[in-house]
Amino acid sequence: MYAVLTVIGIPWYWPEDHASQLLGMPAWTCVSLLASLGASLLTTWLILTHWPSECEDGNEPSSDPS
Amino acid sequence: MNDSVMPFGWGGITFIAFYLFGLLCIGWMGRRAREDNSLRDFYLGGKGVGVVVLLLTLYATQYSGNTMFGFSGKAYRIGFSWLTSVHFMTAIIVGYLLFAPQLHHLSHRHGFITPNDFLNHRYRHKGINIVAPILMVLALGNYLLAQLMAMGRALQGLTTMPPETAYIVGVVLLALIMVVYETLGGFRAVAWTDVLQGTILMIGFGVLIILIWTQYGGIAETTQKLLAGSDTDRAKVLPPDGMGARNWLSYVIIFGLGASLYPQAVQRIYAARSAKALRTSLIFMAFLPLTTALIAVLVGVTGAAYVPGLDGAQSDRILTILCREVQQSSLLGYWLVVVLFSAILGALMSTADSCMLTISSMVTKDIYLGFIQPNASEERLTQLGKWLSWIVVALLAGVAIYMNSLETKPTLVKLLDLKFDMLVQLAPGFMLGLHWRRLTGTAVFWGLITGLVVTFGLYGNAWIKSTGFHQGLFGLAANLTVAVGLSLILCRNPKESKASLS
Repeated sequence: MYAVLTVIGIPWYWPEDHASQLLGMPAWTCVSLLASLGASLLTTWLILTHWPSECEDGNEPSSDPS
Repeated sequence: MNDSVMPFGWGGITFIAFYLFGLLCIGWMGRRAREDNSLRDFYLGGKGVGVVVLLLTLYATQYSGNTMFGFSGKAYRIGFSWLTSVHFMTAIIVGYLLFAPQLHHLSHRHGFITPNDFLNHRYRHKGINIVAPILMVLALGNYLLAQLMAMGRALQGLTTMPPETAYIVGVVLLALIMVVYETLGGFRAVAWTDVLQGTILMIGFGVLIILIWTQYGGIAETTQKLLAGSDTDRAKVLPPDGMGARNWLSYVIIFGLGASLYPQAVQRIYAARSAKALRTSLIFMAFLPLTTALIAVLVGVTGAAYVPGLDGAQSDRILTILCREVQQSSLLGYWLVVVLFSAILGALMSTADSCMLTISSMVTKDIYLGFIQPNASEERLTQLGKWLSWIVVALLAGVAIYMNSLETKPTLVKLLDLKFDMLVQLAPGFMLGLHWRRLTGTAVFWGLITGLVVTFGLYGNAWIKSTGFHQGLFGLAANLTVAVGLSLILCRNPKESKASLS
């Protein structure tokens, strides 16, 4: 998912002379910022739902990580 | 007349003087709050940092003079393409996810103080115990140097003293205040001053964008002005070319892996009171690039449109130049810029004091205790650590003053790049090592050496520059190849591994 957001966020696919605007800024910057926001939201979701249970407060870590 | 000098009157200077005095008072409060004379108390505040202090100290430490001066200066030079910075500052939080949960847990179980305490616990390898701390000290020294230089540049913009004199006064005065409150209160002083500085910094960024748009009009006007300008100005609005896009990707990777391993950030992971405090702080941090870094970019782009003609390191002064114009426009503008300038000082000092404290901890614990006096008492080590802070700051302040006298002054972003090329070589040891039992100390050590040799061997290489990728990433590729390859050879049976991951 991060790879997808990175591919969208980096403006490699926009023509080099593309000057259209959105909300007063170059359109490509708006897409890039949306991708960054997506990465922030994904990070939040991962922190809330995928924090290793053995690393929660009061838990002992597992001895075999695999 | 120096166009970048802000005309602070006695009111503004008094406010800033009180602010700086307040930092010293907080340092004194930190000293009063100490529980004992241990390394744990001096360097990690007793490991009881709650979510508000943790968030603000992570924030104030991460967003520095580089963000305010360097990012706005870079955006001045290359335009909207520096939105790269929003992405890579977010990538740092993603990088934390790769190791922070496990590292925090282990640090509380085993009492880690420095980043190398984990590496020693995991690998018990003498070579790593020598190279890793030295590498981290050098990287942080680079970072601290950049902050000291920015302090000098900040004061150049504040007074009407001759620029060279103002620079020296800025470096010496602010470094002195910093080292005094840190010596007094250690990590508590650093973290509590970060609360004040981080709060003013958050307010300051908000104030900054309002001021700029009130003075110069919104971003739409800026965009139109650049598009109507010269080819150079137009290029600041258009998407980057192929090399610019590769460079963007390179920054995201090297910051995500390298900046998340800032030793002072690792110590803040250790210092978090609980996993919950750490989680909550990281959630907030994930969104801050969309405010802080983005605002720095918009400031730089606005400067490019309205204040043309600044070259190289001069462009790092665009922030003070724009603030000067705002300040002269109204009484409200004047006081808002005074607050903003306090935020700037806060950003610089909060990052610098963290670097300084972490350098002191690593030299004291990893090098002195590890190799010179293994039987030294905690009290002696803490005392030594305080002296080291003074020595390090004095040395680097001297270097900062010398570098300002050079004909070609390095830009702040160039100094930043060197640091990540080095730090990223630690990524396999930390990030892979926390998840893959077969990774051995010997493999990590030789991977690290290989990575550093490749990185520095490629420095200045024209072909590497033409790819748009940082040489540190080529070093990391070589590093990983050696670390993984050697581990597969040396540790054929994972069940036999003596790796300590608990």
